[in-house]
Amino acid sequence: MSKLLEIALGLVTGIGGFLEAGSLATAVQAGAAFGFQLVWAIVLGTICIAFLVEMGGRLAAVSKHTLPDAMRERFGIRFFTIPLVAVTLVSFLVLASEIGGVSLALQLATGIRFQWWAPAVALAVWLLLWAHNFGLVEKGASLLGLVTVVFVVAAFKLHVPLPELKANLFPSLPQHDAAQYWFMAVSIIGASVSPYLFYFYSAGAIEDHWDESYLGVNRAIAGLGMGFGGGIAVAVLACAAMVFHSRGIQIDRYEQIPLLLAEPLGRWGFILFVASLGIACFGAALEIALQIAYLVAQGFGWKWGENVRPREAARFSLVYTIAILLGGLLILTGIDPLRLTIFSMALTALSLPVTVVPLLVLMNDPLYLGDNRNHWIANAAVLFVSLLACIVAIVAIPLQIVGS
Amino acid sequence: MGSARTKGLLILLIALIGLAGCSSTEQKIERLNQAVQSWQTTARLTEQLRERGAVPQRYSRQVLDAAAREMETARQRLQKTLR
Repeated sequence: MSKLLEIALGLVTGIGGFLEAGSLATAVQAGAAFGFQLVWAIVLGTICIAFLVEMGGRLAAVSKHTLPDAMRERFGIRFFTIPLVAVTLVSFLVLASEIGGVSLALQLATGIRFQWWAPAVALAVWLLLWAHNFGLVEKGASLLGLVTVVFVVAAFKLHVPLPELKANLFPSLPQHDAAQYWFMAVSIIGASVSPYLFYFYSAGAIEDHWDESYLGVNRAIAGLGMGFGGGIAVAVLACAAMVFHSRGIQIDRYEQIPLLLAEPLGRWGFILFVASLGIACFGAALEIALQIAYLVAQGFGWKWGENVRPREAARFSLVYTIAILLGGLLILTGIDPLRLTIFSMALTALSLPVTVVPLLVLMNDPLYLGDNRNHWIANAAVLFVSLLACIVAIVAIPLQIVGS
Repeated sequence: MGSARTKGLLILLIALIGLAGCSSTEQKIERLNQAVQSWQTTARLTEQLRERGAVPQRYSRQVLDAAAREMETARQRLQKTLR
């Protein structure tokens, strides 16, 4: 019974925690610019993140190591510095994007410019982490995040053509704006396969004292939770295709996006959009700030844990404090949150091999996993998506910068 | 061998970037036109939704301000392109 409850809570976390600034912004921009044509990128990203989350949980349950801890031990501190810097930098940009997302939700609700909300949002994120425990942070944010299911309701209300959706489950060549198409594809994959998701999940498994008896629970949570989460992202893209693409509206600013739900659902649609954006980004900001602190503290062997009092894990607390402060300051400068989000997602895709390949080496090491090592299908799927995203990003990012 | 391949890839990348950078004036005008039309449609849709009571006045003002700013930017870019 308690395992069933774990699965149910894990599913809630997967569904409620999947959608954040990155997945929302990339899905809306892709749907507006290319209709249903980029559904495949969400599918590919979702498959990849399901495998990675499962691996992170399995590594924690079997070896009792968190990812950074195992990486430092297996490859040495010199090599570990590379994924440490890459993941910290990318996660920091994503954290700033999430703070920007909450600030924009507040701007939409009040009319006060988003940058003025950034200090208050950063303070709220920091206070919650400082004062509460891991369970409340993770489950509370994810439970509230279930509000994002409203995008599925809107997709039904808009009578999204399912045959067209199905026809785009596999990659196809763009009919126009090739550079933007591939840039959007890698941004979507980057948003789906954010390293913070599997690093955070792995740390959570350690905090919840998982052992090998949790491998089934882990598989169910990773597969179903990420699958449903990906389904919500597809619903967002489908709504954008129906509302924006059909009218020739391209998405240049966050202010346009609430129309996505206001058109099919009226005033409640607008309210629920603002709530979804605010809650999803706030939950993600909490998780990313914690993940940055986990990564640094676990990597350097410092005392860590959201359930540990800040004064008992002072360096761990200091890391998330600095990350939140800098993220808030970046948004306070008035940087365009939509551009920051999309660019962060493309950079995430670019950095995937650095974060994913060491994990794959660990997952195939009998010293850490024993008989629970990776199946070749998992290796092939994750390696294929990561390398593909990275190669396309190398070409698409400069093209997009020069082209725009 | 390895460095020759890297060199080849680098040349290909630079050529691709160059090609993207050399997009014709017509393409630039077309893109700016699309942006203006997109913002006009956004403003129209927002107004329709406000009249239906689907979005609050405060929000529609934000969108209309953003639309005015973006269209002004597009106009300035268009002038620069045509010069």
